[in-house]
Amino acid sequence: MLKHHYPKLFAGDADWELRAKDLAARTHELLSFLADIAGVTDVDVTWDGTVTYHDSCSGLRELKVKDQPRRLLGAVEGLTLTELPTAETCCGFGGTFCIKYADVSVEMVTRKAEDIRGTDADMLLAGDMGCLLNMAGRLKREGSEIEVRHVAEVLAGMTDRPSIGEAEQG
Amino acid sequence: MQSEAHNFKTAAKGAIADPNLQQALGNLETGFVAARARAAAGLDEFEAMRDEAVALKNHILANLDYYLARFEERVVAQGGTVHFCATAEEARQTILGLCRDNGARTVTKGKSMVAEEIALNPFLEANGIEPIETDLGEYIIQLAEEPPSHIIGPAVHKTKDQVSDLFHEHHGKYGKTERLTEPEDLVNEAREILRQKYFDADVGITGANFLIAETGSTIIVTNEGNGDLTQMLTSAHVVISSIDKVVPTLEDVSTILRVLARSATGQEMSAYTTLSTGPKRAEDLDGPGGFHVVLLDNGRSDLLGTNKQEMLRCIRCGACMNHCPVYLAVGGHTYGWVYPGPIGAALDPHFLGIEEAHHLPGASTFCGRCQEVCPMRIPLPEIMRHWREDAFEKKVGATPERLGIRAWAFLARRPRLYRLATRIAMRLLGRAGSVRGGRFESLPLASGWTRGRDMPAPEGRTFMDRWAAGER
Repeated sequence: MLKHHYPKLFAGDADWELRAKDLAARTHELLSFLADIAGVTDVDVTWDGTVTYHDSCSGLRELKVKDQPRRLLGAVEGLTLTELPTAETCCGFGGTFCIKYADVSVEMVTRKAEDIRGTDADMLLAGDMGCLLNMAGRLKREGSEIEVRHVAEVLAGMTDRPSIGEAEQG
Repeated sequence: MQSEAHNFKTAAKGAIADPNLQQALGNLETGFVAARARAAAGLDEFEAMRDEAVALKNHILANLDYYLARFEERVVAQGGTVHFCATAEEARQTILGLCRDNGARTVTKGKSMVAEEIALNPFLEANGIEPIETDLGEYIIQLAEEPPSHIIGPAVHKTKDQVSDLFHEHHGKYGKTERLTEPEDLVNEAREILRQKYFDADVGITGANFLIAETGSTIIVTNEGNGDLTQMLTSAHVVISSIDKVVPTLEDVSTILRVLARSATGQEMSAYTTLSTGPKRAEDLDGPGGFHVVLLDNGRSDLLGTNKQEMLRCIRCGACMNHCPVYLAVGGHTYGWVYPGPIGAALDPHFLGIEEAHHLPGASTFCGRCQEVCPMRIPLPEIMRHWREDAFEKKVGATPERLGIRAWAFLARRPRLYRLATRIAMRLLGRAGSVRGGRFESLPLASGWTRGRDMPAPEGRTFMDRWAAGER
């Protein structure tokens, strides 16, 4: 939104177009910032288990985030990444779409959940809270034990905190 | 066809619950998507060719009047006629006139989406002329009395078993009483029945993928060769097409042909690429007696110079629908009019009005996969977004949604209030959620969400709160 849509939205406005472009140039998606700008290669974190990863649509197609999370996760000791065969297929969130066209949205996320379960991973990761909310919501409804988290939680060693859709223990 | 686009939501529900449709859509996804990916990866210059094709189409659209005039000149020079038609009604009447001039009682038809756009078949039938579809997919849906559900595979929504049943039911009158189940046997039976129809027909109607300004030729690409028979054996060949299909030269069209089949079916070329140039000449052994090109505008020229002009680059390959997760969940009929999927969502409101078709650009997650695979790099999500803006301005669609957008816009322009609202919402939902195991099974105002999903509860404090408190 900030990177590609703001400059378009404010195009032609003498003052705001420049400000939008300036903001866009300084705005980065977290994982691409870590991997491409900050040049993080060593994360000093251990997590034992198998994860799978969903490529969020705007991250993947607008911001070209594909390789960065995989590189960062590759630096986590003990972690195995099992690729989701349909990683690049939309999960069905889509903003207002998920409420307005709920039947279609639920069908899409149901297919996604089936593919996720098919990987036998312990944890599902992604980099977009909309998708995470949607996929976690469906997996929980199905009674799945798969933990759903933002990639940053693993990279920051915060997996002791409750995962998305889970409450604090005790 | 009568639009059912307003009925999208109900139709979607039915489509998701239809096991035959879901099976057929599953085959489509695995077949075409994998084939296109292989074809694109197999040609180093594929992306460069897409760029070239886009530049070419942009040039054509900037000089459309010139190339259309040139095309007409060349058609006339070869003894043919071009009929420019501003509206669907004009095109129907023109074609009916041509059929009557040739004393036609039956006409054979190659696949044409423009013919669907002007609802030609029911019109001809109402005027006592029997149209016979010769493309296998079109033939199947003609028997089933259904519209096409995909622009290059009109019967993709049918399973093989359903086709077996249809043929068994309709082919009895030709003495075919056995219910066939093997695809090859089904194809052969249809071929045998259609063969006689080609000889019986008085006029052959085909579409055109391209019109060549340099030569006055029309081009169709098929995988069955039915288009050739349709036009060769009749007293007149009527081409029904639209003004956006013109291309300057044969050299130019070869660029587009190379991206077309790869994007559509993953083939390098379609099995048949048929060029039609004028009627039969004295020295020709065969060919149609007359050659008529009916060129439909139907509002296309109104798109020129607008924020939706790029739609006119479309070459009708169908890649957008093959890759669309919404299309693959609900199928083509759910869209309710001629052009389904992303291209329909971007195009149908232009033909039907946003009031009738507002669901089509609405029912997209803007995942962007259509734009990614579109050989013509049409920014389909952006065009759908323009339609949503039109709908909002014209107050089309559900009132709660518009009020919601207004309320959100009100908050978004008042950062302090926005932060306060999110802080309160987070606290309330977080507290309520923590006693429910971290998620809600139902929530007021969000039954659309909770019907099929839990809603994870927020946890902790907002980012802005924590930032303000110096946590960094």
